[in-house]
Amino acid sequence: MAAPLLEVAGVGKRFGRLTVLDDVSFSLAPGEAFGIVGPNGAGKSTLLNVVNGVLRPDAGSVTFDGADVTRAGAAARCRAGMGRSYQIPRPFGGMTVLENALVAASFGGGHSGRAATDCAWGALETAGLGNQADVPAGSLRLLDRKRLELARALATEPRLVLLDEIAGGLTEAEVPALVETVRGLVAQGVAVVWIEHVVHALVAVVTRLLCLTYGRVLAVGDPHAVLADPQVVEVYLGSTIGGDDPVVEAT
Amino acid sequence: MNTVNAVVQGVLLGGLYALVAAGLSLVFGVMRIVNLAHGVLAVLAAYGSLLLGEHLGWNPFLSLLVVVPAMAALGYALQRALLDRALRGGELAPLLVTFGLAIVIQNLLLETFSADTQRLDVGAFGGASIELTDGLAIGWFPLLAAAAGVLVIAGLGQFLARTRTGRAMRATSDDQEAAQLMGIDNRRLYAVATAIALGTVAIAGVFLGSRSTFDPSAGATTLIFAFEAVVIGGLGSLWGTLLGGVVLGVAQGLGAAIDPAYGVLAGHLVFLAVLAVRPRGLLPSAVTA
Repeated sequence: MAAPLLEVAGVGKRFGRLTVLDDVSFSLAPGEAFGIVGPNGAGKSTLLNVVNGVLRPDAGSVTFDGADVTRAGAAARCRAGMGRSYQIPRPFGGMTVLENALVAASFGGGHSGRAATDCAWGALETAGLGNQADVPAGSLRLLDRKRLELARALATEPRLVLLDEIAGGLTEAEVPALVETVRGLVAQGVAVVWIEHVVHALVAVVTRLLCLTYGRVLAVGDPHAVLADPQVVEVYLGSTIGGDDPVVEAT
Repeated sequence: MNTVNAVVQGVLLGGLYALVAAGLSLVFGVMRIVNLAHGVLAVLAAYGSLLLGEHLGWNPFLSLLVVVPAMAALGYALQRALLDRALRGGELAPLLVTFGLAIVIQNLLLETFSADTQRLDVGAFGGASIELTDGLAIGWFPLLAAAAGVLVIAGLGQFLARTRTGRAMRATSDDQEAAQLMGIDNRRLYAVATAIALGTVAIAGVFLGSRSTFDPSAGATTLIFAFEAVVIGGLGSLWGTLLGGVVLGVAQGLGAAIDPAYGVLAGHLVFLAVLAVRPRGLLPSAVTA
């Protein structure tokens, strides 16, 4: 078995007296597509923040590509090959779409001059923003802002991308295009950790799924098996995916 | 004619104010720090030029070759050693730290150079002028100072628009945390921004010191004029800073045309009026999402 690209071991995080993450462990092989589901407040975004260095864990360690990065900052982890897109898009509003991607390509990707521009263009094309390169990022609508989040993460030329609810807030018609984009990434060999409430989008791409509740790992493994787990079903009962998700209903 | 003259001289003076304010505007734009030591740092640069003139006989313009890099290096060190720590202490800490720094530098200057007023000597060039019409003349020196202001602002604008580091500064200014996720080391970036700011304030200090007399306490007025130019123009907008400087300069010129004692007062009144009517300034920077 190949050495894991990402290894999260026994991670814990508290905000004051509130335990947000408790002994969370999982690992990811290079090029693997990994999904995370869980109810609101389960600690999913906090987990991504610990993985990419925006937050320091109170316990446990994060190993990326064989190196312990638990103490490394977010910028260093980005340069090491970890890209991240936010749940709520955070474009650099005063800059154009291309400049946004160019910043990511120059610093995260380590390119300069012509190579940086090419890399930024490539990321915009992949994310479907090629025709809006000169638009100020602040004036994009939601779908395009989500695409820009993805494009910026891609322009850092990551080996691992952390996607935080990129399908959330989109219409049903917009989701398939995004799923195709992520599938394309995985096909290129980029590993993906994807948090999503739109479970059918997730199941269409990932090969393993982790369910997080109250900061703990409830179940992890084959996506269909995890979604069929009685505990997981109970957690989701009455919430968005329990009723309308075909995968859950089928099992 | 008197009014036209006052406006023309005011515009030129405004260019100099913009030169002083450019670094203040840059540092605020990138780091959201209001550097209260900005004025006294300009005075420090003027004293540096004075020393080079006294000991080596260098013309103030020649001294820029040494003073500008020296001040830029000081800026880099200052950011790494002091202001980075202050930034971690919340919003108030940088204000207090730069205020303290201003007092320390001012008193060091007082200790070293005494409170005597000084002036940098640019030779005959300082008084030469072009006679446009009867009663309207433009001095070569004010013209050069204004040109330097426009060049510095334009240069900074190009730097921010076109270079890798400049784009990183704009990204960090928009969203510091997201910028780090793009792999930007914000501490190094901040140090570069402060170095550039102090390089420009060094140019400003030498021009200010050649235009009129200065002493160790001159930093306070310098800071106020620069601050007014930045606020009138709109926080974080470089071209706004140039416009703000010109508005301030013209207001002072017109005020002084009525009575020499009214010059500074008129500037302050216009500043207050702009704050009341357009609190975001005349050319506020683009609203970030």
